Amino acid sequence: MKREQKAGLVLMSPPVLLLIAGFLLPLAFVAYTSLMPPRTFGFTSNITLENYVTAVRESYWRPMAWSVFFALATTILTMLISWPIAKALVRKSRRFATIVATMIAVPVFIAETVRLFGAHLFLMPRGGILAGTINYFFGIDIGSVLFTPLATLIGLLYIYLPFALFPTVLGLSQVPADQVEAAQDLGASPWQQLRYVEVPIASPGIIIGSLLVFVLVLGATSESHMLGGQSAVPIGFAIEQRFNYAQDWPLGSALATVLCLITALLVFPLLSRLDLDRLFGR
Amino acid sequence: MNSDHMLKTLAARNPVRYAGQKGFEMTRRRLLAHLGAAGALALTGAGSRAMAQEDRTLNLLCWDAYADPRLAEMWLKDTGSKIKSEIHISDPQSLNRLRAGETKNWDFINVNDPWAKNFFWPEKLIVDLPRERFDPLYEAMLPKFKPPYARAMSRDGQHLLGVVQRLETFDIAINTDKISVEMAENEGWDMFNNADFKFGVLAYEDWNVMDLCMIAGVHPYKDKTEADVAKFTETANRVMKQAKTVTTDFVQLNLAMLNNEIDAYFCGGTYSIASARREGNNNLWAISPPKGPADGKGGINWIELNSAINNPNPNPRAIDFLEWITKPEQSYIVASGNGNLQPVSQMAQPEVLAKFSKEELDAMQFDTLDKRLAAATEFDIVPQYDQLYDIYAAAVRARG
Amino acid sequence: MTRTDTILSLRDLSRDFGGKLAVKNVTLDIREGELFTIVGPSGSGKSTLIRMLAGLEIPSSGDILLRGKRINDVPANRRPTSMVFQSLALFNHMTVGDNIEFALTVRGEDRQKKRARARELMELVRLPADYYAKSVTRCSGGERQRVALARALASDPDILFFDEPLSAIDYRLRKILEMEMKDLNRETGKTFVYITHSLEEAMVMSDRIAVMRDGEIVQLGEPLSIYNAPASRFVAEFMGQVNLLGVEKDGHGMVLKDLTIPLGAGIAATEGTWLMLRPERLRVLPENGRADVTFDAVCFNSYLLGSRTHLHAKMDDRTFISELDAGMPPPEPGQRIRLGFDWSDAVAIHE
Repeated sequence: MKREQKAGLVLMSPPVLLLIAGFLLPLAFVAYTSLMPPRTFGFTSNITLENYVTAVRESYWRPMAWSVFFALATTILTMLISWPIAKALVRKSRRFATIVATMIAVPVFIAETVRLFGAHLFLMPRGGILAGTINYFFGIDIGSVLFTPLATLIGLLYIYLPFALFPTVLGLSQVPADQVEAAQDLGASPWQQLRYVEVPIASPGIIIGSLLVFVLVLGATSESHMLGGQSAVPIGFAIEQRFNYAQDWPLGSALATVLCLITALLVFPLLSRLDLDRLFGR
Repeated sequence: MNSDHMLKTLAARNPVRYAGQKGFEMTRRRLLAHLGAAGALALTGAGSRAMAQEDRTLNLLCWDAYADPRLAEMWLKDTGSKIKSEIHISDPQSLNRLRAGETKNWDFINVNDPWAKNFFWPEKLIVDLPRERFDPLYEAMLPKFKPPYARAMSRDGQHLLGVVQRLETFDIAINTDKISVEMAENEGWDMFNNADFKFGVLAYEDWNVMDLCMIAGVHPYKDKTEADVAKFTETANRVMKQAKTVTTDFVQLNLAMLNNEIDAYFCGGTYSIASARREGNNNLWAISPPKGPADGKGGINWIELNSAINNPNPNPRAIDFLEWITKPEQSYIVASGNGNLQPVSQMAQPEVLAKFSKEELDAMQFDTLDKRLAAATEFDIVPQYDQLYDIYAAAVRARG
Repeated sequence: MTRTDTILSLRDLSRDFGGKLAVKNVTLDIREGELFTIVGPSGSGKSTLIRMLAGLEIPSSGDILLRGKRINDVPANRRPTSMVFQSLALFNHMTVGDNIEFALTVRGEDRQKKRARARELMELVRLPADYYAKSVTRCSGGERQRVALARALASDPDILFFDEPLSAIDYRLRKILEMEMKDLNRETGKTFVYITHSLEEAMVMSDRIAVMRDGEIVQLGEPLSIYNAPASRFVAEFMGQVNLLGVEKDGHGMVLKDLTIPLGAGIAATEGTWLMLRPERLRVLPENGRADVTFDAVCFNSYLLGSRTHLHAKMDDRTFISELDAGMPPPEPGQRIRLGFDWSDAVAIHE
């Protein structure tokens, strides 16, 4: 072995060990727990696939489907909302960009539950900020979307927008203005400029943003708790139930493992297309 | 609605104060983090033994009231040592944490008695208490707690597992502008079988299983027949589907009642409505149905046990703390700590009772406590809980 | 179509950037098929002007007429014009072929047609056919130039705009491409509007040149007429290698400022007039050489420019540029020499 290679290995080993201890081992624990008989604790050699059978046979597809739906819808919608904001941030003056970015970034430092409670107050019927204001000025009772899946979705959009926005800004900042102009000059309509130039060049940012939002929403539970009234149960909550009041770690672990696999299946093909070098301008 | 009430309710709901409390989840992520920590500990062996030895800070894993900073100040003054506390998320969550090896981090825990009796004690996560020292404390409580008080003992009756402090009945919260107290008490749990009834569910899920038994007309603490299970299943599916909202945050439910989105919720009690009542929302009221399927009773009475954790390196002051916390001033703080109001068993002592203002006693409906306790059966382990819980969880999943 | 028909008319065209006029009331006619160059230093407004013509910038006032039709409000993507950008603005995420075909792709042409057109254009701009599938990021500077050109030509535009596309190219290649540009203009018959800050580049290839300064056109004409008769000192200086001699008044009448030599007959000048003398007209005189005006100077240095040699000579603090006759050995630095010119070779500049 060459000397540099040796040095490289030595330098790399602490983070690698940390990754194994802090990341892979817990996952291995979860995976192994999922093979234990239901509602048992501790690791034995009684390996069984019973929990996976239960996960499939019982109605766990419902929360899984809701979570995937919420993740997809949130990813698409936050991307659509982020794009024009990101474009304004990249193209407009630095001062404007700083103000807008701060307004969007600062709430990230406030606890999620606090922000969601704010959203709850906003969406409340009659006395709520939105419905109350409309009622006061127009005398119309708009009712409320609170305790519906739509409320959950609104909460998800609110919480996860920054995770879509900032990578999109990073991606869009890689799009040279002159290439967009060149596309326009060559006859591309605004839509075609987007499709052929802006989106392909910004794609690393878009992919990172989408992955972040998708994966985070897949595991999100607070929005459904605090706004949706559990009108649609996300998979994170179903897993939480198994670990908590059901005292059933193995089934909870099996569900978590399935979720991890679904995530990996969606994430790894996209990650492999990601050119990080380009994103960081190398 | 009265906007003044709304503002007061909001003010009472300072959300930062509640962060990390019952109903504020992150459970899954935290659990995974703890699993990770446990794994790392298993690898390195040593863990944080040294840390626990140096600083004789008393570590509490407790409900909100025990995290009141006034208690920590008083303890510091009395003993010269510090208190650090973390608010539980749920009994089973804390059970998981101790199981995952956290006993070395904690000295004190308070949980509902069945959890202590059926999990924490058999799994050696808590220690038993010297009867000769703690029986006098029981003598000073309401008469029903006369020692040996069976609910505080291990199943074999040989070991005292903790000290009773907070207690209550926890059944139904109603909006008296919509439903009269008489009507609610007469109809009892059957209210929730009414197809047009607008109600919410406070998702303390083990409680929900008991409540659904009550609604189904099945004794929660007796063995279920097949017919009982079928009845429970039908009820759970129907009631959970009909519920306007299911949440672990009772402030949301109180707001929903004040907004007329719902007229009642289960499970609820003065624990969940007292702070809103103290802010002037006297139309929120807790009832325990006098009639019901639990040997004729409809209410459920819970108690919490203050216990010492089986720390491998025990804090010598842990046992002292259990006694110290029942003193009058401390009892008052536990009963009113962190903005909630909560009866404590020490209120049998005039010296303790005198510390409460009339408003505080009103807010916790103290004058109805005896009546509610009389209507209530004692919180216990639910036979076939696992089966019923799975039916319940499936009913929740079927909401959307 | 004849070469005198107007294709593009600019009428009183202005562009205001928050109070600063980048382009001021420009009126200009560009003819069908010509290679028209707008030349000016940076900040002269030439880029803004061409961007307005391409539709990438909106005029503040005035009109742009394409064959008589007002196109002020037509966006760039609907104008039958193409631009080659200073940065080239190639799509780096695409291949050479995709770049060239872009205008056809957005128009929805089918694959075969696009490919045939790309091949044809690659041949025209002298790009090897196997570059079709190559990523543009792997092309050299000159190759990228050709890709940009082919891409702009693909849509068969009526006018091609060039915004200093050769500025980043090395000298030798630039000289080749300048000539190719002129050839391409002839081969395609299209109107080229070219922007550069180099008058030398403009001279090589243009049919007509407009010189811009501070948002205005200060001289418009054919290269030779500008070369021979710059309208102002600015234009003259802009041409670079010329000698400018000030005129002043003394007791005897008008004299050349630094040489204190009275002006010769036939030169009409007043105070403030400048005389321009091209390097090839200021000669190093042999022992007995003669000229209307002669003076002594010290050789400072000499520079070999291909077939020509430029000599910088100093008299006091003034530097004169002289072009040596072919085959004449350059004097040594520090050597005293005699310079001279004839009055008929001097051009008077009154502005």
